[in-house]
Formats: sequence, structure tokens, C-alpha cells
Amino acid sequence: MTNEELKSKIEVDFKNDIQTVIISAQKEAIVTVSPEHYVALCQKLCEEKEYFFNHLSSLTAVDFPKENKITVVSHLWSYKHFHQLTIKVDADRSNPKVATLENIWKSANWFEREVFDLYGVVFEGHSDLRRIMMPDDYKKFPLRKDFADDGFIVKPS
Amino acid sequence: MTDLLLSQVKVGGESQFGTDEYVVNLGPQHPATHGVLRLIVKLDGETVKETVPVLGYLHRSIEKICENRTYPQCITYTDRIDYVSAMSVNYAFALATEKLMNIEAPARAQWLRMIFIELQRLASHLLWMGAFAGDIGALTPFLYGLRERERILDLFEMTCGQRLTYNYIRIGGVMIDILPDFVSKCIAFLDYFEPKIDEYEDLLTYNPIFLERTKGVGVISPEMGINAGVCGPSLRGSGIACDVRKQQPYLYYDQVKFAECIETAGDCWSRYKVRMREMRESVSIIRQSLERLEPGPIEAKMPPVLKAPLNSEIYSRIESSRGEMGVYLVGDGTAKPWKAKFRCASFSNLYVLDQLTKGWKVADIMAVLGSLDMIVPEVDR
Amino acid sequence: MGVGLKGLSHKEIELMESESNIPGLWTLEKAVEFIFKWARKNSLWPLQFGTACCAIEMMATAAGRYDIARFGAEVFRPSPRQADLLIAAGTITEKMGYALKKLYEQMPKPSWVIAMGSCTIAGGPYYYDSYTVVKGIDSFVPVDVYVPGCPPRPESLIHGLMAIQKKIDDEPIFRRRRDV
Repeated sequence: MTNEELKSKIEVDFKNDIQTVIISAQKEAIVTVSPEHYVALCQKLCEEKEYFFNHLSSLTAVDFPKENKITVVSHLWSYKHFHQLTIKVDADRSNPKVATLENIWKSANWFEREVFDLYGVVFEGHSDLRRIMMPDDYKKFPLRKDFADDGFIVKPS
Repeated sequence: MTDLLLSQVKVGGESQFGTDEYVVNLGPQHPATHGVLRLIVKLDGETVKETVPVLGYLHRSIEKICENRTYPQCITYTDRIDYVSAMSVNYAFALATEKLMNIEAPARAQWLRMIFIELQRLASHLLWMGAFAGDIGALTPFLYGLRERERILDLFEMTCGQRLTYNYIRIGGVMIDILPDFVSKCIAFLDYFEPKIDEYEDLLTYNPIFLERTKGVGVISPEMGINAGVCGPSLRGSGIACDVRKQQPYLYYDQVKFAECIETAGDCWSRYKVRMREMRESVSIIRQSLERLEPGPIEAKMPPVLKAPLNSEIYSRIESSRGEMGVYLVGDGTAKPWKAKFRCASFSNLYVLDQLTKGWKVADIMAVLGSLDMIVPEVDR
Repeated sequence: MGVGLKGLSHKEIELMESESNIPGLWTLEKAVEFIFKWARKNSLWPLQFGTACCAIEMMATAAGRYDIARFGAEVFRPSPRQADLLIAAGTITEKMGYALKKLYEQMPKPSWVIAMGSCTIAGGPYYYDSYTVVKGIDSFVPVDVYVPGCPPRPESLIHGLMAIQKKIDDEPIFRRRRDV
């Protein structure tokens, strides 16, 4: 399916679950969903025949301190229909909590651990949520925009 | 982590030799872990019960660095993410930026990019072959692989001056045009190289020791592979067509003829055969591209300072030597990305190591790790 | 005599002017020193330690074209107990720094350290904006020779090895153990 067809189909099928679905200026289909319907939507997108997004390509987070939110972004790909979709869900920056996608795609396991390690987003229901890159006793979350530490020298512009 | 495993260790294992369970640390300094990867392995005698990789020994915070560099400055860091296959990562970032800012590279630049990415794929597979055979115990293919690789690096050095971290594929085109005798030297190299692949296959493919160590070892079933995020030649060894060059063509891959190499058994031997066949396909792609090279500009017309549009984002994927490499960029109207994420094949491929080695012996860990073609800076970034 | 005497201690000046330094005169001490130094500098066994990009260039140096074996560095030992040259090739992060210090301490003395590549010299391209990279390994490991480059060419690494050989020639054979 092309991105326009995907957008119209999602608008019809998941009218009540999603917040918005748009085609971006770079011609990608982006779905924004509220945290309650996040896992159910992903489950349907993975299993239903017309969508069949069986490959979770990447799961990451973007920090927006001005809007006080951290957005968790996942990119899905279908090996059957060859279409791509982006799913975004927002989390409150002071206490970010998002449901886990590990039960749908196993590859989400390590992606979510990395997001937890670097941004501090807690994934509810994750089987093994601990740090993956930084040492286990590290206290801060490096990829947040307000990160500062000893030995961290910012490049002067 | 070691305490966690130690507390679950049983005294009195299950084999008839009266073994106990114990926890062993493999690395980070280890000849066969392809870099600084640490594996905590729980063993019962010689049988592996559980493998826990500990990452982060090469976490160089490249994603944080890219948030404070302009888009062209980020390309130098992409070389270091996967230094064995640097041209591919250069191109992954350049493609993402071009899609973000709506820039199109001219035709000659696209053909040149294709030639260099496929040459880089050859170089990467040669090093993989050397390292894989070296882990298994065959030390000669390492020297053979590096010998051919030196000739490819000569071609690269002739063009852009560097042997390993090129910074050649830039946003909007390539850095500099090729020298006049590049085409003839490249064709001479390909003519010299193609019979060498037969030589390596003669040495390894039906070698009884190699077969014993790789046939039937580390089988990735297709469903498990897709669900766990395995990609690239490792998934093609299990029968799934997952080549990004065929499914989401970029550059001119839809205009050259090449076959997607698929094997069905899913074990280490199939993954080895997939990569050997990919080398032959790469040679064919390079020959076709060299024929279709035409004179022209090598860089697109761009503004002097590249700025992304406000509230823009892009996720673009390419097929690097190890598998699918994705770059996610968020633009905020300035000359620096707000967020740059590199989705690397080795990170996803390493996840299945635990499932593949359960119940096998310690020596099989090395065979499986080698066949997954994992490189640590891709895992850690 | 004037310029060469700067920075030398009294003991070293005495040694220079003593009988053992008369050119052409072979004493037993000199002969023993010569044999030790000849053996040491022509059989430096590197530790197979490479983290990042420089490790690939180190492997290329060990391969056919830039054969490092002709300088005596034939065997790359993975175990630090059997090696005496640590070529620190690649970026060292804080997590890896603990391991590197342990590796250096396990190597039998006398041992030498080459800091290969700009990451080990001063943090390299990761000096700014990196929260994990150690900005130069000479803060916890005593370095003998610095080989600059990103990555340095195999010829540079061989030049570094030859500089270590020259350093072995210039030092007394019983070197005081250095603490960093």
C-alpha cells in the first residue's frame, strides 16, 4: 500500500484509537496514539492481514523539554506488503511511563532497554528493564537535553 | 549481573559427568569476540545454559555528539559507527539528510556512490570471512582476505586519500571525482578477484572441519528471526527475502540486475554461503555500474548552510554490509539535528545469541557469533 | 658537553663519564646490556587488544603487506601474561578503562605501551560532547610512544614500534617500575 492509502485505511479502521494520522512533508505516514490504546493498536497492526507489520525496525525516543514531553517513536515495516509506518506516543517528561511492545515484537526488548538507559522512560510490563550501555550504578540519563556531568565538555560553537 | 546468575546456579548439574553449574566471563579482552563485547555465560560442564551480553564498552555517545554538530560534520562520525563498512553508513546519513531537505544528487554521483558502496561490501565481507574462519580455527583465510582487502583499500585511497574512515560520500553527492585511471584499475581488480572467491570457497565451503563446526549450528527459524529483529544476510540464511535494495530501492539498484541470495537452512553454514554469494553479486553490480558511468557534476546545488525545515523528521533505511541500517533524523529548523538515531544491524542481530546457543557447547558460541557478522561499535554506538 | 648535560642527574653524569662509556671499550656490563637489549627489542610480543577502528589498522599491519612479524612482533597474544607490548588501539571508554588498567597491571615487566590513534592520545574526535570517552589513556596507564592519526596508517604504527625499539636501546636494562 502506498502511504496515502495507508493513511486513509488507518483513519477508517482505527478511528477511535488514534489521535492523529498525517502524511508528513517528507511523505511518511505518522500515527500519533494516546498511551491507553498504544499496545492494542500495535497488536492489530502486526497481526491483521492488510497491514502485517511484522518487523519492528527501530524504537527510540525524542526529548522535547520545552513542551515537557518525551515522545517514544517506533518505525514499523512489513516484509509482506513493503510499507512503512511511524507510531508516536507521548510521555510526561517528569515521570515518563509507556507500555512495552515486547510481547508483540521481541526486538523491542533491547530497544526499550536502551531508551530507558539514555532517556529514563520506564516501560511497564518489560521483562528485564535495566541499563544496557552505561554501568548499572549510573544515575543520570545522558541523552536528555539538560544533561550535564563532570568530564562532559560541550563543544563551543 | 553476575550476582543474579550466581544466585541461580545449581549445585549438581544434569549431565552424567557429575558437573556443577558455574558462571564464566568471556571478554571484554578476548580474541574471538570481534571487539570489546563481554559475555557472561552460565555453563553446566561444557554445555551453555544462558548467555548474557554486557554491552557499553565502546559506547562513545555518537548520537549525543551528532546533536551538537552540523549535518556535514556528522558524516565524519558515521564512519566510526561501522568502520569496516564506512561508505555504507556515510551514505545512510547522507540519504536521510537529502530526504529531509529535499536535495537530489546528480546521476554521476549516484553511480559513483553505488560503486563505492559495493566495493565496501566486498571489503567488509572479506574481513568477515577472515575473522569468522579465524574464530573457527582456520588462520589462513584471514591473511587471504586481508590481502584482497588491501587492493580494495588502494582503490579507495586513490580516490579519497583514506584507508578506513573515508568521509567521502557527502550530502548532495560525493567529495571529489575519481581519477582517470580508476575505471581501468577497478576492472583489473575485479578480473583478479573473481577467481579468488572460487579459491576461498574451495578452501572452506566443503571442508569437513568447517562443516562439522557450522552445519546445523545456530539455527534461526524464520518466525523467530523476523520477530527478534534479525536482518541482513543472517535473516536471508533462513529463507526470508529482506534485502532493502530490492524492497525499498535507493540509488540505482532497480536499474542493475542482481539476485538476492537466499538459503533456507538457517544455520551458520547457510549464512556463510549467503555472504559468499553476495560477494559475487557485488562484483556483478560494480561491473554494470562502471559501464553506465557518464561524465557530469558530482555534487548537487545546495545552500551554503544546510538547514532542516521546522518540525521535520525522516526515517530512511539502507542495506549495509551487515544488514539493515536505519537513520532517524528530527530537524528543528537549525543547521544541527535535534535528534539523530542510528538503527544498526549488529544491535538487533546480537539479541538472538542467547536463544541460538542454549544447549550447545562453548565452542559453538564463537561459531554463532562469527556467523552473525557482528561488530561492536554498531552495537554500542 | 654543554647542551647534552641539561636535565641529567649527578648519577647519570657520573655514569656518562665513567669507564663504561669510553667508546670502543667493551666491558662485561656493556656486553650483557647489549644482549638483553637486542633480545628485548627484536621480540616485542604485542597484546591482541583493539577496541575500535585502529584495531583494523593494527590487523592490517600484522597481515601480509605491512608485515609486522619482520620486526619481531610475530605473535599477537590474547593473554596479557604472555605479552610485553600493549598497543592500545581504539577509543577507551570509562567502562573499558578499568579493564585496560587491569590488563596493563597483569603484563609482566618490563612492558611498553603504544598509544595508537588520536582517541587514546587525547580523546580524539570524541573530546567534546561525549560522556563516556576517556580523554587520553595516559591518565591511568604510562605511555611510551604516541602514534597520531585517525586511524594511523600501518607505516605509522611500524614507525611507532621502531621508536619503542630505539627507546629500549636508550634506557638502562633494569628500569625502575613506574607508578602512575
